[in-house]
Amino acid sequence: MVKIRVIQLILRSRKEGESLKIFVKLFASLRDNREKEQYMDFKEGMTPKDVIENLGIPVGDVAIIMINGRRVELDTVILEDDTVALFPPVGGG
Amino acid sequence: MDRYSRNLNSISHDENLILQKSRVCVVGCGGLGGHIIEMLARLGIGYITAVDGDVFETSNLNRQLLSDELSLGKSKALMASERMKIVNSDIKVTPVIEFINESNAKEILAEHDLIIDALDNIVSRLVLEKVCKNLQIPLVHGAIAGWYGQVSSVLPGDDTLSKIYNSDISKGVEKELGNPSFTPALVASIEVSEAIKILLNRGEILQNKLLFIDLLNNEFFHMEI
Repeated sequence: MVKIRVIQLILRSRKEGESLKIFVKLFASLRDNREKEQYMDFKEGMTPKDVIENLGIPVGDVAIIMINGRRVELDTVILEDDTVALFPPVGGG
Repeated sequence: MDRYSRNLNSISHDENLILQKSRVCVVGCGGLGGHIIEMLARLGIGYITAVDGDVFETSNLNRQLLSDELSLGKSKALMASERMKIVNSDIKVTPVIEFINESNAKEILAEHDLIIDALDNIVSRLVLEKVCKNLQIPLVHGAIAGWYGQVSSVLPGDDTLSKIYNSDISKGVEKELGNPSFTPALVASIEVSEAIKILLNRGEILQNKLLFIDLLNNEFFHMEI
């Protein structure tokens, strides 16, 4: 039932022309002076590079990019409703 | 076996015997390495190689277990072997007073069952992964920065480190965040637990996975690499 409800909601939001979203989560020091997590408007063909630039993060400050818990590349295409997570390089010992 | 009686029954008698025959190389004897060597020695790993070309300095005292006010200026690798003589005289710790690099890595790492990454920089870690792959030796990776840390187990050919550190990145966020005492101790513990599981072929390891730890927010995050 919950699934059907979710699909209905998505269909309705499309019908009303509302923009689709992706969910973006930042980790560790990337959170400094930024939202820990946020929704961002989905655009067809968008990539993690677009998300990083949109947030004003220097691309070199991101070491690991994940979509839905799986590591991806800077130019992997993001789909609607995806969760994108960004991690900085951790290298100390 | 009285010395190891409290390891039982988490580690069986037969498994203890495997550990006593195991050869583990710890690369780096600083924040991570000090805790790792101490734990390996107390677990009864028979042969430990402690690699570090550096000497202790005052800024190490906040977190590096093998450092104290008397050891400032002394070799980290040498202090590791000296301390382990009084922690567990049944095991052998061989100090290697060198920084690992492309030209010496093969010779230092060969003949070990397992390598543990306790390095403090990304460039050397990528060298370590490459040479471990060539030598077909498993590598346990750990790294820290401030409140954050990460651990992964890399079997030959996984190339996990080349995937999580892209080649443009030469320094991590630890340069800005520093390293307090509790993060290396925690990450070292998880690295040792991974190491023991690999040596004993038990349990689940973090192969092709990275455990990312954020102690500031108490988040433990698993990702598929």
